[in-house]
Amino acid sequence: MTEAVPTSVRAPGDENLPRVRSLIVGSRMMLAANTTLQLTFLFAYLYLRANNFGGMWRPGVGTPAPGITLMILLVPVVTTLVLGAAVGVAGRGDRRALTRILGPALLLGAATIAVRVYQLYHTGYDLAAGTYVDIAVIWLAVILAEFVLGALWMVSIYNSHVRQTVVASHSHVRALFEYWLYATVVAVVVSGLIQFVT
Amino acid sequence: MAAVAVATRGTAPPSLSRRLHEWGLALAVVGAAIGFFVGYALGSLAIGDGDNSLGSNAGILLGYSLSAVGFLAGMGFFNYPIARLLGRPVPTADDEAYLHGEGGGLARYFRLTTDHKVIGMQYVVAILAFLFVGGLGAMFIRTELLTPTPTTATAESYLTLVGLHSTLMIFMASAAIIGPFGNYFVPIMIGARNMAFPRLEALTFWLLPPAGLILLSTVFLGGFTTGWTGYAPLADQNVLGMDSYLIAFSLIGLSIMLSGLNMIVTVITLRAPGMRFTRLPIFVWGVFLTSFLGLLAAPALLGAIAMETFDRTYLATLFVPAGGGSPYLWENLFWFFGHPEVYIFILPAFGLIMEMLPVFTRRPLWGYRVAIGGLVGVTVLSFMVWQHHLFVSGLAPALRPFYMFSTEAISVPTGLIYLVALGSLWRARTRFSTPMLFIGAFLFNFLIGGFTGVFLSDVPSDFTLHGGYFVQAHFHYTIMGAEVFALMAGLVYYLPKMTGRTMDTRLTRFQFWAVFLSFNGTFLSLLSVGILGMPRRVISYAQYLQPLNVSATVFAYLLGGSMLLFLGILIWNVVIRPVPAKENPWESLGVEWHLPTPTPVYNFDTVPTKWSLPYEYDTGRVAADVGHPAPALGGATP
Repeated sequence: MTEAVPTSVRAPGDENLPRVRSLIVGSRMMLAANTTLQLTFLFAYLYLRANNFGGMWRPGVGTPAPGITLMILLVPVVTTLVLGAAVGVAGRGDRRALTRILGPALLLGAATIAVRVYQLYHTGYDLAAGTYVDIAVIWLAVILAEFVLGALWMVSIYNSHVRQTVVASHSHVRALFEYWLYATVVAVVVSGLIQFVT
Repeated sequence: MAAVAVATRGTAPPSLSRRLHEWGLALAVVGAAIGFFVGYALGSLAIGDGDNSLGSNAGILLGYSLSAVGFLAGMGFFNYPIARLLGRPVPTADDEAYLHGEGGGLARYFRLTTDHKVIGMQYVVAILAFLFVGGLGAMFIRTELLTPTPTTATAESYLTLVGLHSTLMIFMASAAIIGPFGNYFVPIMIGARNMAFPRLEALTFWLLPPAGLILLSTVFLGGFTTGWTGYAPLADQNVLGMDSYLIAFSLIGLSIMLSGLNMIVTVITLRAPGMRFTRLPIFVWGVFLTSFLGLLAAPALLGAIAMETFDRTYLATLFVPAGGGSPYLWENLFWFFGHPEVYIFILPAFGLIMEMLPVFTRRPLWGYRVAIGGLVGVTVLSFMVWQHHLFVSGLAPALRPFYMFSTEAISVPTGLIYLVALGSLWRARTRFSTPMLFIGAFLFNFLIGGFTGVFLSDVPSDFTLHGGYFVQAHFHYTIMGAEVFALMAGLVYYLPKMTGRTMDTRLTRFQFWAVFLSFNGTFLSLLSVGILGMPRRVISYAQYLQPLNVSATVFAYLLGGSMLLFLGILIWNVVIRPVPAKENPWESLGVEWHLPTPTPVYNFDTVPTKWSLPYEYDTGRVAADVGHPAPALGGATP
């Protein structure tokens, strides 16, 4: 192993590392990987439904609780819209306005998690009620985990911005917006699939 | 040039966090232990009501998961994200420099370090360790198969042995080329100072040790009898040892995915000015395209493992026919990852071989763009072939022709890559240095691996050969005969750059012939027993197959010995009695060889801006002017 390091230079100085571009490209690559994950669950869902092995796809007669369906669908959508507005504000470089808009976004993010947790525990079935419930619950749990990650990302941007340790740049907010938009679209599509393709 | 010498930086006493960081590995072990016990308790309590087996499964699964989290926390991987989460100040330039290992010293190899070169060296050690342990498993397997009936193992323990050997080797093979050489050389080859996400790069490495240890711990939990493919419903029925497999494989899947992401972003965003895609060294192309496979295939494995975990803890029945599930679902999901996975093994090896070839043929790489086309073709097609693993598993007959032809079609881009290698060799004044010998062996072995693969892509012959030793020998020809030979070629070739030390020429030449002959002796014997009908993963076999099995075992012992010899030469010449290497022993024109050895911490004083292909041996032009006096061309070739 190399034990001695020659006199070396301090990083950069003669160049500006394109970190911003790395953040955006990295975030999109993560979404690409996420797409494979979602397709994995979509394949499993449709495979099990199409084959309906032993008539065990959906043997029970329960119905997923529809009570707060609208909220489950709307809260992440509204959060996405607020984040979209935050992207515009960040682009203008208005720090105070960005602080004002990130706060509500954060609350909406927390609300998203709350309604998704409620959805997870109110499918209307227990877990031994066939593969429909199995795949639906695990898929919803994965989406919940994605919203939790998104919310944590939001918290880190908000806290760093408010404490002025890292000012939330346009790229930061844009990457977060793209992530949340992606998760919302997936959540809405999956909720629709689970509701209607039974 | 804004160069600031390390010596000018602060002399303040190290902070508490840095002192803790120095003890990262010890803290990681403590964190892993705490994580395991907390996870086990939580899992058992949360799900154990009324069903002890479910509770135990949940306890083990959560215990292992939290032990991995504890390990990473001990290493310091959560310091940065938690600081960001709380809005605390970001690390200072001094902190980052410390993390980068600017001060040098051996300690940086045992803690979280963000220097891609240190991580490359860490991978070298880890890969060799995995190879060693997995190789021991192979020796045990061959010993057991000296006789047609069980002697030392039971059927179950034999299956666990096979599963451990295969899974460890798959872990090893996933990172055997990208890990050491990709991490070390890709940033240098593209003119970058580091990877795009250095902490992520370190994470991909530090996921390996817990994965390996968790997998090995299966022996204390009854083992697992599914082999590396983890087929359901056997996986659902297995004892607790199966949980080790699931968590270990998910950690490896995560590592593959994140490594792919990091490489892609690095190549896209951190190329130096003037380094166009059409000037990327072919090795970088191999790593870049492989990274897409890892990024897009590994999530399927992670999804499938999540489902299997659900089956084993929550009474879900996704893979259990009695509950409406299907084992074929696992097979589909697993192989959607598993078949691109085999190209994750071989594409970077192809890139490495083609990178080295011009150095020894002393002429430009023949058909550089053809090679890129071949690599792209393999990458794209590799997502369309997975169901050939299901030919005999109840795949709808109407689908068979498509997967047969798509699998056979992949031999076309593979053939292009082969053509480039042969074209480069054609009428060349080749220098048969040790790495070149390994390159030749790579081409020979992969040819056999490729030809035998064609038989397995063909539905009728696959029906006959499936599940037998023919398949086993086929993939050993591609993975060991090709990838591991490329690894050895790469180590002999690049260790002088990575360590400043070189492996003994005469000993490595002897070792090459020993490993080449014993490898072919072993696996030609196994191809033969496969054709004669010997099934895989079965501890006993028909009496008439014993002579060939004895032959395979004797050659396997020689193979194991020659691999140990390689390890011994490496340790002796690099660590115990270092043999200093010349600056550019192979007279390469690649930019990496025209930097000082050891490579400076941030690689370049000034990032080069004028690049050409690194294979201009007809003009003798170096790939880029790196601002250092070029090592003289013309040293003796070891």
